[in-house]
Amino acid sequence: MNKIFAIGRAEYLQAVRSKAFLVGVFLMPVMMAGSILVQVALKDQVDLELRRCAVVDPTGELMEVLERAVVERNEAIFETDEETGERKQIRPEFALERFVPTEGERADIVLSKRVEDGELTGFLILSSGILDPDAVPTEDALVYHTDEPTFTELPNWLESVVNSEVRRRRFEAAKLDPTLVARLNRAVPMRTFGLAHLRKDGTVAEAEEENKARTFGVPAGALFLLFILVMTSAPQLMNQVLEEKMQRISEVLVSAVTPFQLMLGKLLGSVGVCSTLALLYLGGVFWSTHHYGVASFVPLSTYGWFLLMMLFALLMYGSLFSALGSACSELRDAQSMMMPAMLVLMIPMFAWSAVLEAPNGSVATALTFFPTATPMILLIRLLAPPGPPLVEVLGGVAMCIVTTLALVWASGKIFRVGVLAQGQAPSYRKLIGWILSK
Amino acid sequence: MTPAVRLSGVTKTFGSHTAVQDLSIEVPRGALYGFIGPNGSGKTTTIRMILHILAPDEGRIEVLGQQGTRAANDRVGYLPEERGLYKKMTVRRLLTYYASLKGMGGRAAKREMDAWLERFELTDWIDKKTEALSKGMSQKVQFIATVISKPELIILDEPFSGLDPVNLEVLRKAILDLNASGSTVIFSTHDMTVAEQMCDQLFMIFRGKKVLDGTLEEIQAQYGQDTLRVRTDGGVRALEEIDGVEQVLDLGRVQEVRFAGDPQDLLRALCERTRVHHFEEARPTLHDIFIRIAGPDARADLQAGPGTREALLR
Repeated sequence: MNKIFAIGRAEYLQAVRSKAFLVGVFLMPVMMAGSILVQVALKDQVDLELRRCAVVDPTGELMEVLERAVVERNEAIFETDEETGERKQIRPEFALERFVPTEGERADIVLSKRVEDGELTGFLILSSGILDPDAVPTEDALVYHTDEPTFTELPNWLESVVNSEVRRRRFEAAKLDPTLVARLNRAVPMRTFGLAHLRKDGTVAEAEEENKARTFGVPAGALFLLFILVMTSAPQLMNQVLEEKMQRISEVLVSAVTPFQLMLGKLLGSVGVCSTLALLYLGGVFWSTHHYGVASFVPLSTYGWFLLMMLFALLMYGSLFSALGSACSELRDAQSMMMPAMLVLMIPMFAWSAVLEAPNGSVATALTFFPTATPMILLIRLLAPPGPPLVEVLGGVAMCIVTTLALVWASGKIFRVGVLAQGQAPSYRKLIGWILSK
Repeated sequence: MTPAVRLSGVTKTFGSHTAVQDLSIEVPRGALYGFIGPNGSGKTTTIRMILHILAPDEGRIEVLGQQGTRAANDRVGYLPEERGLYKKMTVRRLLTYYASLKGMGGRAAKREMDAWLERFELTDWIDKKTEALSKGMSQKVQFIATVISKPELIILDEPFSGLDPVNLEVLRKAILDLNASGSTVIFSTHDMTVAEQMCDQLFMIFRGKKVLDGTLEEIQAQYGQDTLRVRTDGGVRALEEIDGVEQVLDLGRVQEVRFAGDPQDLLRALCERTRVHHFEEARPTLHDIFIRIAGPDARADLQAGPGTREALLR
């Protein structure tokens, strides 16, 4: 046991004293903060280039409406700085022009050419019957053409203005006051709450309003953090084992300790490194949630479940990847052997949104009992309200224990043979042979 | 007292290949015991079984009184043939780590480390990463890592491989000192001269089987005085088609001849053919014996191995 700790300690110290670790510790918060800063910075960096649009209006009436609306809109795209009083444009200006095709001329061909030439952002073609209050709108009643479909602000605005006018005219035709209709059409907002409870003392614990940061953000954030920790440790373990083989260090080590002790020591070191990272990050979460008064979003049980699932995931994937590293003698072989293992590791990442959508649905339940996915899927389900039934929690934890023990045992068998093997990497079939050998 | 190592009827196979077959040897405590044999003959497999890195298919292995377990491994130091160091570790951390794997405490490890580094003039390198060391320095550090825990049994697989003459002498002296202080040393080598000079006892394995075991004198006595060393004007051609000449090892100006019969008959035959400058009856060297046992395979192996030229020129 002392030797396992000696190996774990050496691995831990080697890792946490490296520059890579220090970079890793700060990289994630920096990346997260960086992405937020970039978003904020880019929010104000709107492309303010004038957007021109041609309108083909066979009704002869809508163009005027659009022109009035565009004048109003172009007045509203400015913002005045409260401190400096400076007037600043925050959205692009729109400019509309009426286009009337000549006899025998196809408007879409002519205007498409102008869009290609950069004169226009797009053009709108209205149908002649669009204002008929009794007509059922056809698919080509309102058509917008552009070569820049990702810029949606202009077509959305056009659609909104035209529809408002069409509806106004329908109400007029029906002799209804549009303001009355608007008032009667006011939507009734709905708020989503959790459940209220009757306490033992007879008082009521009022239901709390649903908060997306808590219901979606916490489980998703925990999953991504766990995934990042696994990704920083498991492939790293594989590389270390491979390096020891390539540097001819393994044989000295296995003359002092059994291969299984060596693997356990490495796993211990890896768990130590990830625990250090996790404690730093979770400590940051704990402090910030308390500092900003949202500690109830991340109850203490969340930290406990996270650490438990992290332990299972690290042991599972760490043993698997170190076994793969031990079986190979070259980095290239290790990378190709790693691919199937990576796919298994990615399963929860492919499925997390479906699981979060229905935490107790059939997909979530099935994936909870897919051995290598259990820690991550169970973690999402535990953190997403209402949480899985007790029987599934116990089943999931049992599955984690069984899978972890099985993987550590099987990896130990592979490690025992692989760590001294040289030459071509074995096939997966051969690895199974190593596991089943005495 | 039990021997340091006792192997009884040990066999190890890998698939259809028998690496070691029915091997029995005893290495006495305090001995300096040489393992010789061509590449692929089973030396490393035998060493790995002694260390319980590999388990034998048949037979019993006893190391420092412990049978069939790794219990004695903390008292064994091992330097494998193919060896490396953690590039990013400092010499201090590396040696402390290896000592801890042998169950050695930090203080004792530091004392031994300091003594060995001073002996090998590496004290100034203690806080340098091993990637900064020269090849000779790395080999010395590897040796210190093997002996830092003051093992009772030291197993060295090709310890002199790749060493320059100066470092070879330093290491040879260190091994002899350790042996003189009571450690049992087993080392495998391709260098027959080194084996002859250093080992109390020798063991040769060939194609998985023991073919030699005993002191050098015993082995030489077993192979008799049938080696004749000759130098003639005719060289190796002068020895052609002489009755009784069984084998000729051409060393250039000198030939070593195995002759079945009275050496006087060979001398007479040579004098009839050419001018003879030197004619000597000699006990077979370990090199000769090695070649006789292993034949052309061994010759090729020796020519590829370290110290070959030195051995041949002696």
